[in-house]
Amino acid sequence: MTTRSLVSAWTHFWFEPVTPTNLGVARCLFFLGLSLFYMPHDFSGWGSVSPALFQPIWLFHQFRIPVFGEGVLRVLQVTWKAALFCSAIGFMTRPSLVVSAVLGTYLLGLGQNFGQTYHFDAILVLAFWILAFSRAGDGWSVDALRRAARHRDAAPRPPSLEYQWPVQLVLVAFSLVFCAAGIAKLRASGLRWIFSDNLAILLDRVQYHISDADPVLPWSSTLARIPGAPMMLAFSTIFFETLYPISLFSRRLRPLFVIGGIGLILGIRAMMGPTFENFLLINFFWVPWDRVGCWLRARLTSRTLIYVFYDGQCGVCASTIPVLRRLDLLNRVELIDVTRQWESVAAQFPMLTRERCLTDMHAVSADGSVHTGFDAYHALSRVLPLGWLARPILHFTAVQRLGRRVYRRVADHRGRSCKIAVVSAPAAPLSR
Amino acid sequence: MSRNRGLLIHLLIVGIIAGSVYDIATRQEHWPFSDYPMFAVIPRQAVLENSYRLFGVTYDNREVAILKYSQLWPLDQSRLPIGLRRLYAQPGGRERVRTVVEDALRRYERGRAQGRHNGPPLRAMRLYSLNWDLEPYAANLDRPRSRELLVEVGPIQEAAR
Repeated sequence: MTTRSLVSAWTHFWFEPVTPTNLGVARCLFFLGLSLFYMPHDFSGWGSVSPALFQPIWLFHQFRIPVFGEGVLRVLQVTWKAALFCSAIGFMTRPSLVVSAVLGTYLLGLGQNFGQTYHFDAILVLAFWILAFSRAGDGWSVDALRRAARHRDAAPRPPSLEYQWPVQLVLVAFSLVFCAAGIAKLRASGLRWIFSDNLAILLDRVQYHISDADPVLPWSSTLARIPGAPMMLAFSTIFFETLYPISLFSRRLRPLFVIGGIGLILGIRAMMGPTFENFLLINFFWVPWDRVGCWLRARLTSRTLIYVFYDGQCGVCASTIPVLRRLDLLNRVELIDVTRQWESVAAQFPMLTRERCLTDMHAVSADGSVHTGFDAYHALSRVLPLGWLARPILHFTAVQRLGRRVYRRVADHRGRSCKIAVVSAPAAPLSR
Repeated sequence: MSRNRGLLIHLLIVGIIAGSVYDIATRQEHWPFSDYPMFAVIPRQAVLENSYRLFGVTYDNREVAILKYSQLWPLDQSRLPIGLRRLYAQPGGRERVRTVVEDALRRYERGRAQGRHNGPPLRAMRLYSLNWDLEPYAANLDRPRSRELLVEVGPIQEAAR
């Protein structure tokens, strides 16, 4: 293999130009999962554990990192959890990711100094740092929507070298975790790890409350007594762990190993106890979200359509429309500028008047029903995936009443906030 | 991508891979890097030896195992005993172990007073080293083959604060 082909393979693996979709969606789901997982966790207790038990890990020892008191830890954990959530929604993404990484390393590392080093959180910390150095907020983020609102003609970020390496590096680090666990078993015990009573004994042993948590299912001892089952499980464990890095290179075998890895973690939690479930969140980085999006769009696009009519010369509308366009993931919204396309609108939608359309935003559903003002947004929430989250809240009459009042106020005063000059433009035909 | 940024990213890639591979190759632990040795060593016999466990002593002199996370928070039934065993093996470790067990009793009672758990009030806490011959479903959990009392602490005057 020549140097040139090695460089080409390296570049292809890490720096293929791709859109920000895979990185953005994985960031969003990963941090959302972490926000939910760590919400009930209280790290403040570490601040009052007896220093006699303090046996610092190298990171805390080398950098003389102190164990803060309960009060400081409470402030740090609230800040960290807020940063996790901001990282999930992509609000002030870069600083949020950096805060998530710095405080995450401290808070998750804190417990490792007392008694035993657990391995549940280590890969998360590596992922935090990888994402902190990435441009993970360029897509699928509040920041991207704010950019779209500010620069009405801004197109979504084009494919770039910036979006593949973070996903790949998280997955490489994840694969090395599995591989390391497999190698450690083979090195310490050889094939006896598989072809002995090892796993049967372990399955009985975990009943004696020796793990950080007890097995979820009470079937460990039963499983240990099914002829061949412990050896079969031990073989599967070594096979999936040691060969897991294959999933980085073989698209065909990837589903097998990823599902095998998920099965291992769930199996360990169910039958043995250790709480590796936050590990599962890393699997969001395996999913080719751009292809999932294409697949979904191909199946859902032809369903409910909604036409939205707006005043293209209004500043508020001008910044709202690009945001709606970004949120229309399933291509189910037709956005129509009344000032530019009125002739076509009048021909296709005779029930609308230009004057009313310029006063309030209008939406026409596939069944021909017309919604105005806040109710147009309400109708939009049925077809925008992000709007589905708001649906339960919008159902309340009080919320609808408040929404209509707020809309009325903004719409009636929007003349003052309109900053975009009126430009006469030729009529354009409707695209659908 | 600028030259400096490209360099930074390459350093990050190499750093994370090298850190992981180094710990795997040298069987060391530099958290968050690790060689992930859990469950790597196979047990030779169906026994559980020298397992440390905390027991609370109630006011009617019953011994109850302290295992729940809420009673040991932020420690747990694995982290605390393993830390205590490691401490006990060190020179002068016995006194440190006593301090930690006192702290565990104080924290238990404080947690109880704060409603964090509903365990019984304790007048003392004992640390045992336990040995079991494994039985299916841990049928002999309450009847270890042998046990040795290592430390007893209490009563803690400020316990009910």
